[in-house]
This record gives sequence, structure tokens and C-alpha cells, in this order.
Amino acid sequence: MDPWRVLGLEATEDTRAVKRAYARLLKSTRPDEHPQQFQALHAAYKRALGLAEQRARAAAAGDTEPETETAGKRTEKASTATAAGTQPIPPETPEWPAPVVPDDPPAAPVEPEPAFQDQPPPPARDPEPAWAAAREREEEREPEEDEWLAASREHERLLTQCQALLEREGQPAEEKEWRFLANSAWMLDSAFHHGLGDALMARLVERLRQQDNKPPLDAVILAYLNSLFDWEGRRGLLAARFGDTAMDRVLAPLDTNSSGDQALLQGLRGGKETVPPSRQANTEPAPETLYFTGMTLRMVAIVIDLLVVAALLVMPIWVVSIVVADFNGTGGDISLESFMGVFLILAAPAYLLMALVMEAGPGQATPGKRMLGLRVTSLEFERLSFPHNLWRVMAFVVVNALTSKVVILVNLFLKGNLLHDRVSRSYVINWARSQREQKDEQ
Amino acid sequence: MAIIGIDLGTTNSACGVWTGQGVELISNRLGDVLTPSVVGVDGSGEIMVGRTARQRLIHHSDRTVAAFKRLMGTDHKVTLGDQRFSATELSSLVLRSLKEDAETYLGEPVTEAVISVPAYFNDNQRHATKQAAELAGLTVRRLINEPTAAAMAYGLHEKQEGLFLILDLGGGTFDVSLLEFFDGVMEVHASAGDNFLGGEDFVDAMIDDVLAEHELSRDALPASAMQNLYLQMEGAKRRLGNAQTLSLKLGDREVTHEVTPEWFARVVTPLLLRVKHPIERALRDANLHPDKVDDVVLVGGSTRLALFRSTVGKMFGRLPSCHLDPDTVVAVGATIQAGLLARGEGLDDVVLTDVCPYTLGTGVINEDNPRLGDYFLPIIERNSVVPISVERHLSTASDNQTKMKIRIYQGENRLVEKNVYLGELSVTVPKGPRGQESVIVRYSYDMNGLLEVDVKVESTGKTYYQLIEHTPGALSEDDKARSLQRLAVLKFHPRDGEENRALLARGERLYESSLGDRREFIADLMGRFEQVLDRQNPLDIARVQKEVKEALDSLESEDWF
Ligand SMILES: Nc1ncnc2c1ncn2[C@@H]1O[C@H](COP(=O)(O)OP(=O)(O)OP(=O)(O)O)[C@@H](O)[C@H]1O
Ligand SMILES: [Mg+2]
Repeated sequence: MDPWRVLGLEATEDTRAVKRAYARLLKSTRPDEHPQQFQALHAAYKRALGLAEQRARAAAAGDTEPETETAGKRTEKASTATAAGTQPIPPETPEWPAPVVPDDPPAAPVEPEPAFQDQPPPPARDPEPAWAAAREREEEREPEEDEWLAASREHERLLTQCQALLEREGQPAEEKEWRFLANSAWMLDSAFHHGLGDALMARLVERLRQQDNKPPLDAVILAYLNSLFDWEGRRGLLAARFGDTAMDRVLAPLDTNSSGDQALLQGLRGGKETVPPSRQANTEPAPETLYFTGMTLRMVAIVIDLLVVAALLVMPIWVVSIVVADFNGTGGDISLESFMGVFLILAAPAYLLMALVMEAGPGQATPGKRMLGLRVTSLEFERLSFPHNLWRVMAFVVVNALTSKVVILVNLFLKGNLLHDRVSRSYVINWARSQREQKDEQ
Repeated sequence: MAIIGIDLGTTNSACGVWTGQGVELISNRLGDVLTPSVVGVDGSGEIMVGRTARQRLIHHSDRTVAAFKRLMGTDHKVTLGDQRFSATELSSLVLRSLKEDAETYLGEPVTEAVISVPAYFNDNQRHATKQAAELAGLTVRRLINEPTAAAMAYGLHEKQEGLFLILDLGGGTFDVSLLEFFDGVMEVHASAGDNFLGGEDFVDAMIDDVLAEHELSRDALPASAMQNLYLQMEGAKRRLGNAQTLSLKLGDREVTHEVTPEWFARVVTPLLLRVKHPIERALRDANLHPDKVDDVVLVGGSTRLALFRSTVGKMFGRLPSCHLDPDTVVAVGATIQAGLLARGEGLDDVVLTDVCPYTLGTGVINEDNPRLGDYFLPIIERNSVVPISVERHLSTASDNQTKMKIRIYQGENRLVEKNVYLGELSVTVPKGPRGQESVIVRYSYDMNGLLEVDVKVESTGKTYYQLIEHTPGALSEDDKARSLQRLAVLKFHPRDGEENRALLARGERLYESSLGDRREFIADLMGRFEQVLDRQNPLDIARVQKEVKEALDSLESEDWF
């Protein structure tokens, strides 16, 4: 959409007019009340502002035809244009209202100076280091010559020390041996600090090449140096100079470094103790690929479960029957037959009850399944709710009790997703195997 | 009903209300505008907040906690005495205390507030702040970014148009916002910051250096000795102008330590470098040269450091300005925003547009190099103007996948694991070959800086809303109800008599840290004070209160405490 129409303006080079029109419309298109219209208005505003600036520039250059076509991409274009610096760009009309502050910034250079990122600082051994320019602007300092000398001497001194640490044989340097860098008073000087950071990075890249692409620094030291030089933040700039892969390799150890909690707890005052978050469910993510549990394992699980049930039931039945027998005056003599009778009547319900409770419990498995590393889940691979599991248990009873022989036969061909699983919309997952395969893959 | 504006700081909090004529900052029960963000539990289990609690930080450090804003949005808990609190709960206690002060001042119930948060606060931290307010019985009408609030106060005060860089270095966080003010529009261009950088880190750096010099570790000292060290260093930090000799007690050793500006500069250089990085980043993002900035505005107590000013001064080739009280300017701005929301009289209409300071996105399979882990797919780019809503199509990654898990992250790293995890939601998709099924993920970022995500399955048309799970530090409805119940039964120190309790706590602190005659003198003084308090004669109490206060003032070396 035409940004000028949205703003109700004729195409203009007057950025002030664009702002005024935007401000007026904004009062009736508040971001909190009309979010969508606001986004459209804001986009139009930004575009119009870009177009107006471009027109102004073109007008100043005597160019009558502004390139409206590239205007939409103002931000990207603007930076590449300045970085490439192929064409001298004429001075802009002031983009912002004139400042009222008495101490104005030093007069703006005729050619718009690029922002920090547009121009990679010159290489460290550049005959005219970056700080020289910065130095010149600061008048309250001592004679420039001395400053400049002092800075380059300090630069060399620190760099030599770094080199020594990098090349030291045997014991690799510890973090605290690098602290000398922060002790230099020069570090707070922007140009010096960027120059040093980049020069050190150049050494690291060199080192990387010498050592067959082995990262020259470990995670801890790299994290420390990164906190001084913001290499990660300036990655784009550095990559432009040293190449993407080299930067990836040098900075790779940062990716394994996690000192999160430490930063968090630093600065906290008081308290008897702090309790870290309990490591819960999401610290152990589900494996990417899950496997069903085959027939054999399922049978084994049931056998184990029945043994467990038996072990649990034998004692109580025995005790009860002795008491009952005593009471009946049969003198504590119980027949194996009646014992087995009672056991068989009780075993099936006991098994089902156990399945009902435990499969919907936190372990998601009966003892047998648990021993084999199996888990009962919903179709979303989550724990079943109790009603859902009740449905599952009932499906198990109905399906297997009605047509047991046929079912077993059919089940053999179902690859672990058995009939009663299907009826009850649940899965029995071989969690242990899924985890194992995931690990092997990595 | 009034909406109050609250600055919930790491070190100090404050609140205010718009009154037609202007912003009125509300004094707390002790008559101070700033309420220290310190929470304590006394021997009988009663809760105290503010200055009284801060006095007890040294000798009852196991029952008192400060600077817990750092833990917002995480699942860490702090134990005080025999109770365990989350940072959200602790913040809610501070908010509750501010709310009561406002209610007393206004003579009516207060239920709505605008609360300021660091611009660089992530989504988890913002949600935690909102929940803290809810636990305190406040509805959040707006979360406003602290530097934006400061700019509001500044812009309205100075009536000056132009491009400003706001630097807010408080007790625990550092924020940078670049914004422009014209024709009643306040437009934030870019924000950056560091959530773990503030005045407390400067103190920590000083302490670490001293301990390293004496080959001691933090664990080697008892808690109260550590707290005492913090206090001494904090005082030294504030008096840096003149050289000082501190005598420090390190375990069984008594050492003297020379605090000079040079020593301080050496020790905190790494922190000052960390101050510079976000400033550079904000300017880079806005594609601006430092010279284009019309004024650099300083906010937050730590910007009083001369070294901070000169460092920033060097970056911009001129000294930054700070015409407003750096301690209260954020509260003033939050209050102006509250006034605007209530369409308060006497306020020029200002429309605020803000940006989202982080990139928000999701994890996608990284096929080039699976070893590195998933890639981060940006959905909302950082410094997009808000509110904003962006959609992205994602499709299944393997055959017969029935479930897609959308993990939500915030940050700038291209590897998803290195970004801040905000939560996840799962959707069910019909089975099919890989890549056939796809979903539309929509991220909506609102004026409060809060993110909502919904996912629509394209083939079935089913939409999943608001199902973000596993968000660190967030309370589910159940948790919230439980937390409310727990907080409801807590007992608080009654409002009246707070002045006396603050004095008693201060006397106790001074007693504990003094020796010999001085100690006896304090014991005597406080003994008399307690007797008078027991007799409960208001006139006597008022008289002795004044006397005790003066006596303690004359003993106290830390005038800021
Ligand atoms: N004169 C001073 N010199 C140095 N530091 C000071 C001075 N006065 C206050 N500070 C520091 O300012 C910090 C508190 O600032 P402030 O009250 O603005 O923080 P806050 O708003 O509570 O924190 P945040 O904004 O990070 O949440 C403390 O760390 C304190 O040490
Ligand atoms: Mg603050």
C-alpha cells in the first residue's frame, strides 16, 4: 500500500511533515486499541520516512529522480550502501529536530559516518590504529602523540602476554591468568578495546589454523574473554573479517558453556538457602522415536506381574485360611485345592486392580512392565488419566476374555499395538529401547 | 478508582498516583518514598518488608532476603527461617506493602496498577511480575519498561524533543533504550540490556577482589560476616570520592583495606565493559552513530558512580545528563502511564510505542549438522514495534508423526538450546508422510511485552490456544490458589508502630556491630526505649523515639542505610 496515502500526505522530502502526520494519526490509532491498524500505520510511517530521506538526499545531490523502488528495503540497503562506500553520499537533511543541548556533539562529518557495525575496525597492525582517530577528538587529553604511543605500546604489551598464554606448553592457562587484561586502564577506551579484541581474535584464528581446527580456548576462558570483548555480539563483524567457519570454530566452546545459575545467584543477599528447581519431567525429554512393545515382552511382563501378585497374595490367603480353618475346627489343616481355588479367584482381580492403579500412576507401568522398561501412554504419549486407564483395563478384560485364542493369534501380527490397546486408544511403549536407540544415534 | 504506578526495583521500590496537578509519590509507613525491596520473617513468623527488614539483613540473614528480583521467572526458591518462598511470592509481599501504603494515602481500596519492569526482562520474568501483582491483589493494567517510564517522566518534564538514549543501571539490572520524542509521540527505537548487571555486582566484584587477595573463599566466612562485608563495601562504593581505609573482619582475621578510585576502577573494569556492550548493540540495531543522539539520560542509583559517567561520557564525547532524581524517575514515569490509562486530567496526550527487545522463535530440526542440536527459527525479530502478531508455517519432520511439539524460545543464538526457554505446546496432527502436515504458528506480542502463542493445524483447522506448558517460574491456576492461601495466613507486622520496630532493628544492628563502651551505650539506650514502648504512652514514645533516632544517627557511619 502507498505509504503516502496512509499518512494522507503528498510525497515529500520533509521528514518533519511525515512525523507530524504520523503523530496526528497515531492519536486515533493507538497501539493498545487498534493493534492491526497501528502496525499498518507504523509500517507506512517508516517507509515514508525512508522515502523522504532518500528524496532529500537525491535532491541535495541534484538528482531529480529518487529511486522509489528500493525504498521499501531502506534499512538493509542503507547499511550496505554506506559499508561499500562506492559512492560519496551527500549530507542528509537533519533527521531529528535540532538538539537543544548546549554542548553539541563534535561537528558531524560531511560523509555520514557509519554506525559501529558498518565498518570493521582496521586490523590490529594497521599503521594507523583505530584509537588514533578517537584520540584526536578528545581535546582535554594530553598531547595526542604521547597518548597514541602509550596506547599502541599497551596494545602490544597485552597482546604479547596473550600470545605467551596461548603458546604455553603443558598446563593450559587458567581463567585467572587472563585477568590481567581487565586490569589495564586502557580497556575502557572504546577504540582501544575493540582494537585489542579484534587483534586477539586474529591470534586465535591463527592458532586455530596451526592446530588443525582445534578450538584454541576452552569454554571457561572463552566465556570470560567474551564477557570482556563481546565477540558473540560482534560476531557478524568478525565473521566478515575472519570468515564464518573460523568464527564458528573458535567460538564453538561457548555453546557448551552454561553458567546460568551462577549469574542468577550472584548478587542475591541473605536467605538461609536457595533451593534450585527440582529437575522434573522436562529435563529428560522423550526420545524422538518411540517403539511399540512386541508380544514376547508383553507376555513376559504379564508373567512377572502374576508372580508379583502371587507373592503378594499367598501370605494373606494362607494366614486367613489358617484362621478360618481353625475357626471351623478342622485343626489348621487346609487342602491345597481350596488354597488354589481362593488364589485363582483373587489373582485376576488383583492383577487388574494393580494395572489400573499403577499404569495411570507416575511410573506408568505395572511392576513387570517397569522391570522391562515399558510405559503405558495415551496416543499423545502422555500418562493416562484414571478414567482412561479404567477403560483400558476393561477393554483388556472384554477383548481377551471373550475370544482369547483368536485374539492371541491376531495380536501376533499387530506389531505390539495390540487389540485392546487399539480399542482403548492407548500405547505400550518400549521406553528403554527408545532411549537406547536415541543414545546410540548420538 | 485510582490506578497506581509502581517501580518494583531490585534494591528499592516506590509508588505514586496521578493527581490532576502532577505525580504524587506516596510515602510509606515510615515516611519514606523509597521502600527497600527486602523481606524478612521475624522469630514469631511475622513478615516485614522494607527498611526494618533491611536493618536485619546482617544479623538475621537466614531470615531476611534482598535482591530477589534476580530470581524472578525461575523456579528457585529461598528459605527464610522455616518457610520457603518463590521470588514471585517475595515480590508480591513488597507489592502488598506498597498497595497498603497507597490505600492509606488515598483512603480507598487500590486494585489496579502499572508496574515497571526492566526493558530487557524476558517473558518468564514478566509473567512472574504479573503473577506477583495478582498474589498481592493488584490487577496489572500495563507492564511498562523501566527506561521507557523514565523517558516518559523526562520527556514530560523537559518538554524537549529529540533522540534520547536512556541508560538505567539499578541494583540488579541494566537497560538501554533508544527513543525519540516528537509531537506527543514517544517512540522506542531499540532496547537492549543485561538482566544480571547492577550495583550489587559492583559490590560483589569488590568483595571478590579482597577475598582473593587474602586467599579466602566466600564459603569460608560466616553469613553475618559476609553481610557485614557487603554493607561496608556498599558504603565505600558510595563514598568513592575520598580515599578510605576500611577495617574488615575476615573470619578470625582483622585486615585493613585501602579503597581508592584506582583500585575500584581496576576491579570493576569487566563490569564496565559489560555496560558498554548493550549500548553498542542498541546503536547498531538502530543503525545510528553515537553523535546522532541528542541526549544521554541516566537513571538508577548506580549511575551516580563517577566512573560510570566518565565511561559513558567517553563513548558519546560529552557528559550525560540527569536532571531528575535517578531513584524515583521510574516510579514517576510508571505513574504518568497510569494517569494516561485512566485518562487523567491535566495530562498532555502522549502515545507510547515500544519494541520487543528480544527475538522470539521456535526450534526447528537442523539437518546440516544434527550434532549441534536444533536451530532457532526467529518468528518475531528483535526490536519490532509492538503489539505485533506474526505467523509461520511449520511442517512435520518425520513420516507418520502424529504429534508436533512447538517449543518457544527467546534470544539471539542460532542454536535453540542457547536461548531462553519460555515453554512449549503440543498439537496433534493427522498421520502422513513427512512434510505433508503443517501447522500455522502465530506469535502475538502485546503492549506489556507478554507473548501469546497459538497453533492451527492446517488440515483439520483445529486451533490450540494458550497451552504454553513448563514455563519456568510460572504458577498454574492451582499453584496460584495454593500460594494465595499460604500468603493469606501469613501474619504481617501491623502498620502502626513500624517506626519503632525500624528503630529497634537499627539499634540491634548497631549493637551487634559495635564493641566496648559503644556497645554498652547502645544496649542502655535501646533498653530504655523498650521500657517506654512497654508503657504505651504515645507522648512519651514520640519524645524518646526522636531521642533514640538522634543518638543512633550520631553513632552511624553509614548515612545511607
Ligand atoms: N552514590 C552512589 N554511588 C554508587 N552507587 C550507588 C549510589 N547510590 C545508590 N547506588 C546504587 O544504586 C543501586 C540501587 O539503585 P536503584 O534504586 O535505582 O535500583 P533498583 O531500581 O532497585 O534496581 P533495578 O532497577 O535494577 O531493579 C544500589 O546497587 C546502590 O548501590
Ligand atoms: Mg530501577
